[in-house]
Amino acid sequence: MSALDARVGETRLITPVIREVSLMPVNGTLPAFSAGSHVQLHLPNGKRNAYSLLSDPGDTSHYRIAVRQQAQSRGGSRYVHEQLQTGDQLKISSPANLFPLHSTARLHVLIAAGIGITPFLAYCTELLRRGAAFELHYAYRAGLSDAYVEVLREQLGEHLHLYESSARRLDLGQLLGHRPLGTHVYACGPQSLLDALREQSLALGWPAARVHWEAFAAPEPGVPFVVELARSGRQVAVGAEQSLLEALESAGVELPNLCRGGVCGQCRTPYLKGDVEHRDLFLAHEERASSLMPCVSRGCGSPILLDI
Amino acid sequence: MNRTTELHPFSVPRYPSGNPAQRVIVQVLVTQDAGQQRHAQLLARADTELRHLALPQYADEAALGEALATLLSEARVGVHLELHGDEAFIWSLCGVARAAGLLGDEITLQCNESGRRMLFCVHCASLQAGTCADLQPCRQCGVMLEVRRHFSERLGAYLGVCADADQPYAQARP
Ligand code: FES
Repeated sequence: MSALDARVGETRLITPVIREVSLMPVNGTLPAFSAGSHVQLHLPNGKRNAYSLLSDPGDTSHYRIAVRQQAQSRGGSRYVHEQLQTGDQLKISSPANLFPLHSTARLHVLIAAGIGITPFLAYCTELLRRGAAFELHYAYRAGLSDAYVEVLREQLGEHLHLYESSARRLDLGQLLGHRPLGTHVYACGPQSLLDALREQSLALGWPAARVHWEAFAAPEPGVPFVVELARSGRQVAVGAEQSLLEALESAGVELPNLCRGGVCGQCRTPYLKGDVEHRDLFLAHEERASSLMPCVSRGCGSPILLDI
Repeated sequence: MNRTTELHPFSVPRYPSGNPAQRVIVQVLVTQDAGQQRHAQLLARADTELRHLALPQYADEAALGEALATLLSEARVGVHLELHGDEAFIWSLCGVARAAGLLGDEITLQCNESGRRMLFCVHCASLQAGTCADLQPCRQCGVMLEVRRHFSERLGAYLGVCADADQPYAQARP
């Protein structure tokens, strides 16, 4: 996958746990992107994480991302919070979009929880520009994940509906009920929100084609394990804080990948034997006997023999 | 080429369409005939509200189309439409439903394939109800058309192309 050179512009802490980082082109401009796109940051410590672009999709002079410090950080978000400095140079991937707006929708209902607001910042800019009908429902914790509440209040006016966790509950049943036929719903947030959305939308007769979601699942750490590559006989050790994909990359084995969070299916890799803890949301049950997603899944017992 | 393509060319429609696994809150049934049998079946579904429009209750297909458009303009997500009739009937109403904002997954088409089907004459660009015959004259320009096994979902019609360029009007206009 083609990587771009970028320079870190301004970085600012917008809540105690969320840092916004702007990325500038090293020469010329950055590629254009559509609302909902993400880029991967190749950090100097070998970690690569995917982050939604939250800046104006019409502006290619810079990109902006926001990174939440994860309690269980494997070193990616911690690096961004503690070490990344203005002026640093790093590689980023070209923007890719796994979460696009649906052009035929007549009403867009956006549901964000916490740091899941990021793709919707670009969405809102785009929807305002199009004069489209939309609502943003934003659930957050005051003082912690309320990063963009003030800006959005100013920009969105009536489009914005806020749910501060101690004051108001986001009721999906109510949100999805009685919507006109051209409605599409989009959600980004923790898995619990996406599970609830799937359940409620099914119960209310929403076809899957109207319900869109993005998990911002970063891979979680685990115990170290070892894999063997069947074609070359090489062994690759995977550290506790590393994903299998990252370990393969540091060993010089490049696999296609987009989301690095177990949802897009790009990194699918066949294996011949071994015990796998499947952590992806992509593979069907039967497929797991012979394929795994190295961006999130890990070994958990007898060693894995990858068919590559 | 995958297996589905071999068994069924994607260029012609497959019936029934739609996504039957979907939970339905309001079922709209539209039938070209009285449709009593299907009506009774759907009525038996406990937690679904049924609305039935049958062509015999309306002056003509246009009036039925308007009634459907009105019903859908007030409908909410959770509605599912089922269309029963010949191909010309279901595809023209399918167009009404798509214009109202329904997605393909929210529409089931049940086709009685011996009836009329829609033809699009590529020579005079007219859309017309035709028969099931492979060869038939265009009602607008008179060219003898060969009906291709290519169905345009946008038009809801098969393409008709001049069957014999040396004798475009066949016997119709010697
Ligand atoms: S990179 Fe998307 S599933 Fe692994």
